[in-house]
Amino acid sequence: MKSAHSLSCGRKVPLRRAWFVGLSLLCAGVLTGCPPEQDEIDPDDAVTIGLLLPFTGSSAATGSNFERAVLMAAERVNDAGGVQGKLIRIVARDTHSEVGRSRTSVRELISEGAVAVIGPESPEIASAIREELNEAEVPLISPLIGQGDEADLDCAFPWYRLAPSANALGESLANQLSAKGIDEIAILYGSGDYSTAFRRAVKEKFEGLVLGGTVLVERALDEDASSHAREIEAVLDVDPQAIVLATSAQTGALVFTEANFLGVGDAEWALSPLLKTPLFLQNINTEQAEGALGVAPKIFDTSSEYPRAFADRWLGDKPLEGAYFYYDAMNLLTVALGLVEDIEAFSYEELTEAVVRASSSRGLNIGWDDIEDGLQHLEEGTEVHYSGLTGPILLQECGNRRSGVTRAWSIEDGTIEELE
Amino acid sequence: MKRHLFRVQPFVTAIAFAAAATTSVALAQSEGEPDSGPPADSGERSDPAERPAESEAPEADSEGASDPAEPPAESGEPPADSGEEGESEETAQAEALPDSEAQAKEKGAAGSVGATSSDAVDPDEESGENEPPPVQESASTKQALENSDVGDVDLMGLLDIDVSTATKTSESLEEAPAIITAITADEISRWGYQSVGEVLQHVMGFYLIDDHITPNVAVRGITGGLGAESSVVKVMIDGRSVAFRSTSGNWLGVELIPLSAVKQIEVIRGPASALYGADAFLGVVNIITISPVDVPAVDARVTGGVTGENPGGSFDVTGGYWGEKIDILLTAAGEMKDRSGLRMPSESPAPRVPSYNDEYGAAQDLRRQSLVFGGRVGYQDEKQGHHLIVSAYASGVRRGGDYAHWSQLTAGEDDQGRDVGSVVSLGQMRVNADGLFQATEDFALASQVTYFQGSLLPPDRIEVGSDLFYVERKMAYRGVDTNVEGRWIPSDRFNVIVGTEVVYDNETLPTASRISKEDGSSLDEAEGRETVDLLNLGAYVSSNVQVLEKWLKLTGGARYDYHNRYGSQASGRLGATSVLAPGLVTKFLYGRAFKAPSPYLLFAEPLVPGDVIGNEELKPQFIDTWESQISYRPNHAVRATTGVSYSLLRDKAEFIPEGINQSAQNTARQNAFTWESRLDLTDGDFVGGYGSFELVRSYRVTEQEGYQADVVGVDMVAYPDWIARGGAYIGLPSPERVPLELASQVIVVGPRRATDTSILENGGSFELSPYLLWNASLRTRAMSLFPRQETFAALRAKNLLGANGPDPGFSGFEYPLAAREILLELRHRY
Repeated sequence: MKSAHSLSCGRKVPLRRAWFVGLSLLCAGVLTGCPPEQDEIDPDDAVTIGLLLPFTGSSAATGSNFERAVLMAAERVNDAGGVQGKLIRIVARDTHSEVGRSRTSVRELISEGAVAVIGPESPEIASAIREELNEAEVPLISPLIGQGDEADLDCAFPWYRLAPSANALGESLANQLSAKGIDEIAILYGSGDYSTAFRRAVKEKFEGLVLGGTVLVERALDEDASSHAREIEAVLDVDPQAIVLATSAQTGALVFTEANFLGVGDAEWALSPLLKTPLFLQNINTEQAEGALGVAPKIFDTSSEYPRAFADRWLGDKPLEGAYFYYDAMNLLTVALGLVEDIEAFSYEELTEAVVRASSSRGLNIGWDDIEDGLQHLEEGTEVHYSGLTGPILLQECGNRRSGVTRAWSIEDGTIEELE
Repeated sequence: MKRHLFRVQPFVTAIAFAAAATTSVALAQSEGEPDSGPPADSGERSDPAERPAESEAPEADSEGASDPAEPPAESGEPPADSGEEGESEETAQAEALPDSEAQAKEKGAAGSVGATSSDAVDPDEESGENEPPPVQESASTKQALENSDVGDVDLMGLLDIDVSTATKTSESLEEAPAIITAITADEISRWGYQSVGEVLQHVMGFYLIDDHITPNVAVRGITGGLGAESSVVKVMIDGRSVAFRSTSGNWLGVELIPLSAVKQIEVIRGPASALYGADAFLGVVNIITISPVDVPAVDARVTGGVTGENPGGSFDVTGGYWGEKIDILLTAAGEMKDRSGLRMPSESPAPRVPSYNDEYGAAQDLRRQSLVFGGRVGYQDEKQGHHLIVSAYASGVRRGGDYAHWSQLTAGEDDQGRDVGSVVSLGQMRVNADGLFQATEDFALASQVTYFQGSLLPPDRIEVGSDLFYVERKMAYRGVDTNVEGRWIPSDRFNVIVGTEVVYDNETLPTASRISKEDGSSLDEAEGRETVDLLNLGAYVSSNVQVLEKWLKLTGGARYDYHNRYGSQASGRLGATSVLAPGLVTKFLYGRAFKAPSPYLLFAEPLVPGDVIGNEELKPQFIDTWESQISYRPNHAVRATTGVSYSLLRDKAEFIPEGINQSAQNTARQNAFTWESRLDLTDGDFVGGYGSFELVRSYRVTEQEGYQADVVGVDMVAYPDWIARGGAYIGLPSPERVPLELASQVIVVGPRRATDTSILENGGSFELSPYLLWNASLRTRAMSLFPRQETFAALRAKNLLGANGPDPGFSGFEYPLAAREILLELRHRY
């Protein structure tokens, strides 16, 4: 549980309470020696972790929320004294939802001395920046990008991905649709690797021998376009029983709105994991989405502990589902850094090996709320691994998650409901 | 009736009637027409025969509000001698008299026009030792005047101006307990202002970002941000708010009010909620309409010219009737201009331009259409001092939305050949009743009732980038604002105003319908749109007390408001004004004010991903301001002021990303320090000018952490570090019947950081370059082309250098400045 020390070194508080709390913090800080805040950490006394997220542009919906998950995890580590005596320093940069600008950002992260980079949100951007990261020997941990369609993945430079593969999720959605008695579907999907892989998995599973359904039509969508009328009309023309929508939340909201404007008839909606977010619901007429079906990675820890801790830290903000994966990514990296021989001098190979070890089932299990204990065990030389909010991670050598369970959900009364 | 140093002013109308009587007497005597106007039986009136004494008491004259060249016409009476000689009897007499007598006579003439409450002030009470010294005309001045072809020069130089907004009582500008600027009708005419927005652009402490829809005013380093629509100040006409309540936005264009109906615009910088309630936050703009006595038979102005390369024009007309007990005023103004052609500034980091238009192209629809009508009928019981006034006001705007925040440069033909584009169109109307019951000599009861309503108008349509549909917004409001006020003035040294206000606002919450571009059908017509009742109860007390003669005057006030949605708010003010020496006045002021969250920020529905989403938990913002000013006016030719202010804004509402969208949250604290100085020099109406400079430093601390907070930092955004302004006018050698004047103004806007959004989109902070805005006018003063009528003509140029700016935008792009405008203006009144 969060230590008394970390509580006394509380972070920014609502300004109306600032005077009251400020004095308390000052006293507590003097007495206990609060660790510096992120912007006060001396790079020479810290291990720098790069964070690459979309804060602007078409994919900007989630950046701040995910960043908060990482900052919160890093704070707990620092409040506990750091890893091998080193504080965690988070340096964040914006992808701007563009490949070109992401390259610039990742170069900045490398020049800032990042030993690893967490992010980004787009498979295309991840693919584009991997070469630079590999050259700099900086591992990439992508919390929410599942395995896509990367045939050219070089296992000498692993790409750690904590989300279940698009393949597993796509197959799961195909099963769900078939279970509802749906035989004919159409697919609208974003042109990115992940959505493409998801689409392929849905199609292959749905049209496979076991399910025996038919994909009447499928259309790729340009995620930067401001309208998708032609693609939607092509889908509606074939009068499918269900429309599979595999896009980002922003594009998804636009497509959903335009499709309903044209009239989807009796077709049901089947939604990809990226649409399991309140951000999607805020931007559509939820009455038109009643009963929509979706699949998503399963979150193991469904208790209210983490959301409450998140809200306490961030003025009532709630963690999106992706924030669970980002929190886990930071903790996994923390444990990995604790596993390296000497945090002052470790090699790329040593760190990547430690990441895999940290995700394994060897040694003592450290949960999302036990990181302080885990750091203590690591200092004592005890073998530990991390299994957090999203369950056992179990990364392969190349970086894909072996585990990862999917779960169905639907939209009921304007909100997301988990299905058993 | 007792005469008071603090003249309670229920905004123009109440005192205007008393002034009207004074004026009529003055006119009658000067014209030898003893029967014109009501009988001079009111103690409020001053006899023009006493006017020479008033020349020693400049406060008794508030004639900055009127053009000295136009006295007879402005009084609604024909000039005594404005015939072919082109020289009035008043002027002729003044020139024939010795200097002091000439001044006195001129004073009397000035007092006969546009009379205000000050006309009724007892000269004996006004001739204290604090009075600025009488005019010390230099030989060169006299020579200049004598040599001037302008026969109607103002010999008084910088005339005293009375203001009423600071305390709801009439006081001189210098001594009013507020940092206040008054822009008179004469200045409006001189500088060629076409709208209140243009006026505010030239007021120290204000920075106006013109988004080409509804300009966004920022004050002393603090800006309202996205969609604020100048809601950080309270804009009032005769003391009544004219905000579009659903957004709390204030319109500052031609649609706000016909400027021909404006007597004076009083602008307070600093909090004023203690008197005016919610939203008198960073300042107050109170537009005082002309007194009944000033109502002309007709005062009409037409303007035509080009904006950039687009033709356009406007009209502005006011007329009416003034009788013994009844007065009627009708006024209207309209504008049709087109700013199309403005290019998206290259500094814009992330404009959202649809694919059918070239990226960074030029705007194709920035058409501006405004229309406003107003009317007023007043009844005055001269003997008892009672009055009843009924007025009505209706206004509408249509703006091409090529720089709307949802998406930009949307107008034109889309890929299917359809005409598309965003249009913003709004309308509102008000009906007011004002009554004043003078219970005793010392006590009066005033009451105001206003019915208001407003909504989006049918042309409103928002392009959201879809090939299939556009969005038709819907939101509306209606309600009642009632105010009852007791005014007790037991002595010249002390007064108390106690009042209550109830505002009921029924808001139809914002919704959006998607309308087919093919056939105009609506996909999701909202049925039974949700409404919400907003109720605010307010009670206030305000008092002024003269503690040590002129050495110390104290002002205090407090107000309590209870709102059914966001609860209790308290605001207050304290002020000390001291006349240290003749012409030398200091002010020390403190005030606390609050800005209520607008219904839009509480309940907005996003039209597009990324748009504003309502936050029903939003609370009011509070500001505390400490300010001090010292002004020095050694004579009527020089006025200098300098002052500093410090403001602490708490619970500042900032737009915070909420998923794809953004919502306003009370997450910041901002402090701002300003230094403002201004110097006015004038040599009568022949030549004059001013210069002002303001320096602003502001820091903002948010509760945000992480990348965005790091990139944006704490330094001030969207406000220049400094602004310099200047203006000058000079009478030109010209034929007697065509007196010419050249006037010019410049504004130099210093470097200003881009907004949070632009900084984030850019990936780092950046500044927008300074720019210089230069306006110039060549105009005639009053020409008597027809007997008993006056004609004016002007050639005006705005943004003569064609400066592009830009000004900071709040949605990933910057706003280009309005293009160069060349306008020909004709005005006729009788």
